[in-house]
Amino acid sequence: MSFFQVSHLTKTFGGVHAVEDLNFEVKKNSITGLIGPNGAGKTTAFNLITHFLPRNKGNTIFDKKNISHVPAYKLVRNGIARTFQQIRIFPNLTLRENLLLSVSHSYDSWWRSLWKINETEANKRVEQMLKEVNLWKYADAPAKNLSYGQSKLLEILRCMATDAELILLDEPAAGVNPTMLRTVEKLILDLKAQGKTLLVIEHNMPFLMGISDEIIVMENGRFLMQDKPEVVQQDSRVLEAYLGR
Amino acid sequence: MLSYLFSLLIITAIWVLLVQSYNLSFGLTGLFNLGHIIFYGIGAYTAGILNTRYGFGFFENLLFSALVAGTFAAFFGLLTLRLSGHYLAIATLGAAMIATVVATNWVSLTNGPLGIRGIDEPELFGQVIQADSFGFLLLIPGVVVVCNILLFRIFHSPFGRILRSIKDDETASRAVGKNIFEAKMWSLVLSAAFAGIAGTLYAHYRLFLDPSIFAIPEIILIILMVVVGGRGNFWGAILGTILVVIIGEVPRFIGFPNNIVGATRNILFSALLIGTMFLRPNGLFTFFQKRTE
Ligand SMILES: Nc1ncnc2c1ncn2[C@@H]1O[C@H](COP(=O)(O)OP(=O)(O)OP(=O)(O)O)[C@@H](O)[C@H]1O
Ligand SMILES: [Mg+2]
Repeated sequence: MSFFQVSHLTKTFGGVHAVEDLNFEVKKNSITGLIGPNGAGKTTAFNLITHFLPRNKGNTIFDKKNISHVPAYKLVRNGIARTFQQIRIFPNLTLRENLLLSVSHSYDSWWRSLWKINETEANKRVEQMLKEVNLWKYADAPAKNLSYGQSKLLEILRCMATDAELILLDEPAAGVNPTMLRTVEKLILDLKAQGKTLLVIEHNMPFLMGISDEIIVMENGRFLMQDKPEVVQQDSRVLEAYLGR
Repeated sequence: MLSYLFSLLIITAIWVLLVQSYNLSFGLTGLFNLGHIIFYGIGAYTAGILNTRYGFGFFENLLFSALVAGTFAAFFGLLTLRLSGHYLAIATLGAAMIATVVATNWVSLTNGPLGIRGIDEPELFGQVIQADSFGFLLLIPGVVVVCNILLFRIFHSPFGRILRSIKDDETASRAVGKNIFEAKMWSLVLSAAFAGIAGTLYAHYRLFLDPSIFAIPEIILIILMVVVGGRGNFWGAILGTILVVIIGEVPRFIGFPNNIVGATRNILFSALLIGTMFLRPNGLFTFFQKRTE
């Protein structure tokens, strides 16, 4: 059995079949790319997996656990974290607070979060993370002051801070300049080196093909194929999906 | 003059607690709950009823009014917290109106429009602390300070950070594993418990209660005080309350005729609210918050 498995995932919006009978598997400690033309249903698939949208049907199995009915907020505790295509950081919280919120997700009970005041360890972790991406100097400034690319980095760091085993990234390279793209790439590869598993939606093909072990292709809400990057790049169906017939 | 200043101080202290309790749910968590005055009224009535019928004293009432108001808030939250934004505001405003009706008509419990009279003054070590004594001036602000210390802890705890993250972006907060409903619920319950304590202070100060305690204009005043201080700003709420109380006293102080004092006050308050929202949407006391740039 694979590490993460999606089966028969389906979602319709009114008459639109955004995701239709989607099936795929992700191997442990791999980087798997998820590609497809605009509107193929990639983001919707993420939202269904993480329960930010209710699904019509379908099962998701993660690390032998059925997470088909686990509500969104419990996924982090189950080892799954994600970013959003439309960045969602906490604009009025400082960078430090943005990260402390996830580092300290161990405060699962509100009661502990009320009384635990000593956050020395958590702060050390935050410092180390922010230094790694050169954002430490802004640690105590509100996150709304960050540039677009920096916000993206912060959102990825926030995922990392949760110590999730499976990380879903929705277009981490979009709108990021080449220098910062190298930082994003390094973060992703480091995560893999730490044994994490990543599922990455991306339109930047050179970037994605360079880091991925496998690529899943979606078209019109459906699964089209899944294979090694070099195979997918050569496949006539994929070219057709992207170029139109 | 002295007794005027005296009562102004006591009333301001009670306001500070009520406003700070609202600052927790409305300011920090962003719950647009227009029914906060219900918790205050319930706290006051709990104290009044327990005292006049069952002989509970001031200190027991502090505890019981917090419990009753908090428990009520839990049910209130179950009914309303699934709503968001304007829907929550409208539902809770409706609840505040219902509260007045209930307090007026549930005569067997509240004695209706005649209200509850003859509430005892606080007693400490067998010594009655009269409402115009120096001891009273220590007691009420003392309780308010203790409550504010507890509230300060809540505001600055990791829990407070979760509440602020909810105000910023609920979806993102869920994405980092926070149980939004639970956090909002506790924010409301704690906020209500402190409002209940403020109600007890009021009951044992005025020694008389009637349904006007649930009046809608009071809600507007609380909102004004929080907004002037800056939503979620701990020190701001205290300064905002003091500022609004002082501004409210200006017309009387400079000798306006009694019949227009109320109207003048309302004009001043409205101007302050509109001015703050246009010119300083984060409140007048932003220097107490961390520098933002
Ligand atoms: N909340 C919604 N309500 C109605 N339709 C939606 C909603 N979300 C997505 N859709 C539709 O579902 C389809 C899939 O959208 P989705 O955002 O998942 O595509 P995508 O593959 O992520 O595209 P892109 O690469 O442009 O981000 C689209 O046709 C979109 O219009
Ligand atoms: Mg998308």
